[in-house]
Amino acid sequence: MGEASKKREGVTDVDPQELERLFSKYADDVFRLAYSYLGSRPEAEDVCQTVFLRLAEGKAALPPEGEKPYLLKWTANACKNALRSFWRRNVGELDETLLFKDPTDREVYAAVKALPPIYRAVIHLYYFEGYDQREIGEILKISRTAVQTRMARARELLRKELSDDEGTVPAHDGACDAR
Amino acid sequence: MREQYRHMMERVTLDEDKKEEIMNQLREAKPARRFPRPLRTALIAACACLLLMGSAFAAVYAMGGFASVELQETESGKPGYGLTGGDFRFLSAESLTDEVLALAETDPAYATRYFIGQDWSAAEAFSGVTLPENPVIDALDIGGCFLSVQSNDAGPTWLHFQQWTRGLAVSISAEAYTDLMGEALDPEDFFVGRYFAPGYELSTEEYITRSGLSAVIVHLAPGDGMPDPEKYNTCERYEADLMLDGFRYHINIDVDGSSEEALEQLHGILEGFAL
Repeated sequence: MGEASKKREGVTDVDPQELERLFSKYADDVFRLAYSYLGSRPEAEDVCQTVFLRLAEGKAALPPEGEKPYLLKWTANACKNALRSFWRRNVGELDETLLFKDPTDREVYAAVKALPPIYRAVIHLYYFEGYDQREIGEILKISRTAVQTRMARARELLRKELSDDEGTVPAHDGACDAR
Repeated sequence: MREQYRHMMERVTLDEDKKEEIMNQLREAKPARRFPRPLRTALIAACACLLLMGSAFAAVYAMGGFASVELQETESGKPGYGLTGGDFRFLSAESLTDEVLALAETDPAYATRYFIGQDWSAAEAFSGVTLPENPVIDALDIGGCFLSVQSNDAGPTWLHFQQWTRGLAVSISAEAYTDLMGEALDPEDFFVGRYFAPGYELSTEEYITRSGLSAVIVHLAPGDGMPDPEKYNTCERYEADLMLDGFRYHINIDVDGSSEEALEQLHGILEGFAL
C-alpha cells in the first residue's frame, strides 16, 4: 500500500494539549530542517509556523506512529514552495554566517550554505537527524538513487569548499552506505 | 564532518520569543472548514463536467488498486464507469527534467503541452520519469507516443504518458501526479470517468495476475442503438485499469479478430507487469 493511502489510516486530529506537546518536542527539528534548506532564519520561522498551523487548523493529521518524519516531510514541502516563491527568487539573502560565534561553525555553515538547497536537505537529514537513505527518500519524496546521487555530489562540493582544511571531509565517510 | 555539522546545527534553534509567538497563534487557530468527504468527491466529479445519473445502473466495487469502481451513465445516456481513489505516489517535481519544468513555466496556467515521440522510452528520457517495466508492452509494434503535462503556478502537477500500436488497436496510458498537486488534493478524492458511445453494454470483472496484481477489466459489447460507426468507435472493446507503483494505468484493446484473442492479449499485457 502506498504512502498516500497509509496517511489516511489511523490519523488523529490534534487537540490543543497534543498540539502543544508536538510543538515543544519538534519545533526545533522543523526549524533546523527549514533553516538548512532555506538558509534564512526569518524564512525558516515562517515555515515552522506554517507547518504547525496546518496541524492546528486541521488541514492535516499525523499518524499515531512516525510523527517526526511526517512533520519533516511537510517541512520539506513548505521549503520547496518557499524556494519557488516570487519573493524568494527576487530578493537577495542575508549573510547568516555572522550568526555563528565559533569560527569552525561559521566555516562549516558557509560551506553547507554554498550547496544547492536540495543537497543541503539531504545532508541535514543524514548528518543531523540520522535518517538512512530510504527514510530520507520518503521524507523528500525522491528515489533512493536520487538520495545517493545528491549525497555524493554534496560531499564532493563540501570537499572542495573545505579543501583548505584537509581531512575535514573524508573521501568516503560512509554517508552513502546502506544502513 | 558529521560531528562538525551536528555541532553547528545544535546552535540553530527557534528563539524562545518566536516559539511563544507561534504557540499563541496555534492556540488561537480554528479548524479550517472542510467539506464532508462524500461532498468533496461529488464536487470533483462535477468538475469533470459530467452530470451523472444516479440509477440502478450503478454498482460499486473496490479493485485494481482503486477505492471504488462504479458503472455509471451520463444524463445524455452514455454508459461508462468511474474510478475513485487510487494508491498514488506523487512524483517529486524536483526530479523532473528541465525540459518538463520549462514546459510548465512557459504557461503557468492549468495548460497542457505535448511532447510527441517515437516511443515511451523517449518520453521517459524527456521527462526523467521511469515507468514500471513491462516486456510485453516493449515488444508491441508501437506507432507513437505522447507526454502531456499540466501545471499550476508552482510547476508541473500531472504527467500523462500514452502510447499506441500501429493501427491504433492497442493504447496504453500511465498517469501520475506530482507533489505539487499532492498538497492540494487528497488521493482518495481523485476521480476519473470513462464514457462511451450510447448503446454499449458494459460488464466488469477483476483480473488478478500471477504476481498478485489486481486490475479492473471492462468489456464493452455493442448493443442496440449504437450510433453511426462512421462517427464513433463502435467496435467491441476491452478496457483495463489498474494502479501500479503510484501510476494509474489504462489499457484499451479494440477487438480486431476474436474476442478471446483480444482478451488474451490484454491478460498478457497485464501479466507483463511485475509487482
